[in-house]
Amino acid sequence: MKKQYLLTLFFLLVMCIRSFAQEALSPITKTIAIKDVHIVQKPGQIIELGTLIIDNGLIQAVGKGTPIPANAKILEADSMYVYAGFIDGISHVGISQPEKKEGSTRGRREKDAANPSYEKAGIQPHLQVRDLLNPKDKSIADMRKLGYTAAQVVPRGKMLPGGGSLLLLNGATPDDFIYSDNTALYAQLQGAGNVYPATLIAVMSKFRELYAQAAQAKTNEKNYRLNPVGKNRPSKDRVLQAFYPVIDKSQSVFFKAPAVKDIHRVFTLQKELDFPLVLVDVKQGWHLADKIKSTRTPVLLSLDLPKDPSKKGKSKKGKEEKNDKEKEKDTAKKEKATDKKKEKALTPFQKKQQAALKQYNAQAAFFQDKNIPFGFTSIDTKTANIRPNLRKMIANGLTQETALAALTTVPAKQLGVSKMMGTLEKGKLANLVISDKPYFEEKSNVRFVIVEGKVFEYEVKKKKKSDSSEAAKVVGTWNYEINIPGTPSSGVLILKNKDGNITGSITNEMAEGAEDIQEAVLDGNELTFLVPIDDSGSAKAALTLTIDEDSIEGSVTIPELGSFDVEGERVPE
Amino acid sequence: MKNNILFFLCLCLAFVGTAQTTGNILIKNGTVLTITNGTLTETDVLIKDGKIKSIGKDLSAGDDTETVDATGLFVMPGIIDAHSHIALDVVNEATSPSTAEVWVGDALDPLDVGIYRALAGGVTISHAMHGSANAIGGQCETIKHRYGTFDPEELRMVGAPRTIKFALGENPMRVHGEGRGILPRTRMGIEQVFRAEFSKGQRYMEAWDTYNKTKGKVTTATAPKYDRRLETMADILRGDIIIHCHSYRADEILMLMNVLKDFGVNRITYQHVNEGFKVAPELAEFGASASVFADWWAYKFEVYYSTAYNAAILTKNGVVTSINSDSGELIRHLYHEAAKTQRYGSLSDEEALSLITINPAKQLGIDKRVGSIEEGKEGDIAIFNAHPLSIYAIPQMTIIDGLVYFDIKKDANDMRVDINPEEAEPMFMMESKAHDHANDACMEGVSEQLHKH
Repeated sequence: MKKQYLLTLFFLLVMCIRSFAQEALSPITKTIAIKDVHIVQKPGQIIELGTLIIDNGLIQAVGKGTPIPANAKILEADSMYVYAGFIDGISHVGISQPEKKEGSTRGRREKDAANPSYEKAGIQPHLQVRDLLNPKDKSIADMRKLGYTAAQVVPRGKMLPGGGSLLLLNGATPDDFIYSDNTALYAQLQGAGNVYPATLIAVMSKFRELYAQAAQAKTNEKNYRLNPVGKNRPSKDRVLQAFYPVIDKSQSVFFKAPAVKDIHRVFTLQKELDFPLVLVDVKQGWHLADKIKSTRTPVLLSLDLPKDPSKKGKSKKGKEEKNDKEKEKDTAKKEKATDKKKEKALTPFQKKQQAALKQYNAQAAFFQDKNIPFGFTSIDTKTANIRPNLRKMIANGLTQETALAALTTVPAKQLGVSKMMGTLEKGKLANLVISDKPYFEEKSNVRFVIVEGKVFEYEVKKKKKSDSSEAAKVVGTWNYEINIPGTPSSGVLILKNKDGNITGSITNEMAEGAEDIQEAVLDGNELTFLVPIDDSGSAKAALTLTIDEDSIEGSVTIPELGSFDVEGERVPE
Repeated sequence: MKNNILFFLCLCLAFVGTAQTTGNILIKNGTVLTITNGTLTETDVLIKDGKIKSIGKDLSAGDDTETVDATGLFVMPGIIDAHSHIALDVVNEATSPSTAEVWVGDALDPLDVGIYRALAGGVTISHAMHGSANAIGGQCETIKHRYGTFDPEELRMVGAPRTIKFALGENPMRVHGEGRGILPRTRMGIEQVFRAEFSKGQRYMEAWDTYNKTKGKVTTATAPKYDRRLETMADILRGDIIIHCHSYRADEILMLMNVLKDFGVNRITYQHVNEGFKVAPELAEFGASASVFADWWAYKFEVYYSTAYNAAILTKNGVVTSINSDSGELIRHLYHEAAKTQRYGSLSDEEALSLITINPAKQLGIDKRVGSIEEGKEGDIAIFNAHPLSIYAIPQMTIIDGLVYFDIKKDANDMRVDINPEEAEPMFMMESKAHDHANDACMEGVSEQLHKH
């Protein structure tokens, strides 16, 4: 008996500790004060050194000299920049990539290709995000870390992947995330590949057919409700039912249309069927800007940008392709040796390509200058590319205010949640992002993201001294080339390891003698350093190189000239 | 001559979303091959607002009208290709023996540089067709080669009749019978696909007729479920859609005519129709027309029994005959293909040129608008440096609706309109959308689809 008693006691004790531990995890106070910060209340409206108070997940007060409640926890954000949390207009955040089934259908031609199930056909507009969301998916934390606090999430799939739900990017269960359901019908012009509708032409036809059938079914349902006597039971097809709110115009079709032809095709369907439309993932929108403007079609521009073909970045595609590229490089190098100058000048083809690239990079600025409101979508964009691409768009004429609007106020309006999201105002959701410098500056770091009052803090990675083993790997003599269009140049870079610090010198055929490299920092295999480029030593070129055993690749930024590619290889000892 | 392609591009950009553009042009002092009204030497052709306004001597036009000196040049109607797959992003929806509801007009690709190549061969109109993977393929689209636009809508020849692709023989048998073990496995099966689908279309039509009669009178009347495939079959039965059928063997050609007789359908053009010469009188009697290759065969078993005299025999038997390309390469020299009928069959100049102008226009139901140089017709013109049936002929200028879309003097090396910034190599270095003889263009997209898993 005694033993049992002790056991019970022990058990109770454990329970106590556990509940105490849980208690400790939740915040002591739900009141948070952020003071002496630059508050970007909404695009273009800034409160310098203001105070923002959050209470119980909502913004309690915003202003200058606002009194701080005694129970408030003060966030260490002095002099930082506070913005409304970003909203991703259309996103797959939290929807895990389906695992590819190996072998099951390999080489098999679908016998029922003409009449596949809705699932195989990629026609599942009835699917709901809450049934598919994985709260632990890494993408949620990744997007939050960029400053996203909300996202309209849609399932992955083909022609009709499912409905949209607006999520707040924090929670333990799928239901925790949901802000609102049934926010969109998501559609793509993508065929199912090996079953009907396999191709674009069948997708276009099927969309028309489903739409018309849904209208029929809806009418039949209504008539049946009025008087069922003598009538057959109307269809309860959930695929058709998913169209009803669109037919009622209470829900928009968010239609993915990246390329110019896609946009035209989606407009064709919209014109025929007259559904409320939002264009999604637009990448070549400048061709149709006037039409988008005159029809007042809401639009979500892609955050993805083409890679610059003149920059030979690391290919993450198939190995074979990489090998091919390397072969190309080899032959190209041999040619360079024979006729260097001729090779390096831009061909008419490359000039056209650069002009095209510029159009893509300046799409957002183009819309801005035409006064067409737009939001952004992260769909099909690598998370790591989002901030660099935003900066690229800004370098091509997009203002920071418009960029911020595209991440906050515009998507809030498109989603009908302007009252609760998009700006920093009393009574709105406490969705915030705080960065140590203005968000769109290259050197700025996101330090806090707050989702409905829940604080996520991010440390700035301190550039640690590289350990000697890493430093040892980069030591050596390297031949490099800088690809400045028209005036390429080459030289030698010598790197040394001095107690784990990188030192060295660099020469260039355009300059006499060698210069010592300055402020070299090695982070993993990424080396950054400065080189004085004029006599006074005040102008400096900044190099960022990725070092891979025997090759270096990266870029150099030269004041007043721009950024250029650098590549090179190790000189064997 | 200010009106070069770039200028037109600017125009296009300015007119995005507006009606299809037309122009004014005066072609002076050329040898005019009218096709329907003989050859007129030292004659002017005036195009106003896209239409041929007058044909005659010493015509003059206002200052707003560009003038082309055609002295010593040959002026003919824009060439029409009754069978092509250029300017299409999708050719085959090969998932079902009947896909009557799909329409390649939904997949027009105005950015295909193949359109410009066709213009450089004097071709102003092509029939962009669905492929031959299915017994009943998709609907096709007649397009004008208004290259330089980004808007697929601008390619359409608005008002041209609807057409649909049917296919006989090995292609549908291979895709569905061999590929999936379903009907049609044999030529007999193909006939049954037609009969079954037409029957379903008839029943569908009847069901709707019944509903429309009782609607409003009977409270329990419920509409039949909307079905685009059967809707299309009904439209064929009503005579609203012209059938263009991929065919080779004479027995099958006769079979389809029998099926059509049974269902009261009479508008059909046979495509390829390599054994057409065997059944030419029967084709003529039915009123079917034929669109053939000049001398291309033996690329599969059912295409061995062929002759270069096919077009001439069909013509002499009274069958409206055209010569088509089915290829992004052949389309650039259809005038050579037409000339072959003079070597093989001794057709007259007018008969030979009709094969690539007025006859394909008839087959597409657009002969009232194009296909010859006549007052009131649309201003689609091809200008050559020599008689187009001469081996030395080189196209100089191609005009659509009075606007110049090709001018050999302004023919730049790179005529792409849409530049992919990520593309590694120039498009023309790689295999483009042009089809060569080794491949059957009608089966484009099928092998990819079948091998996809």
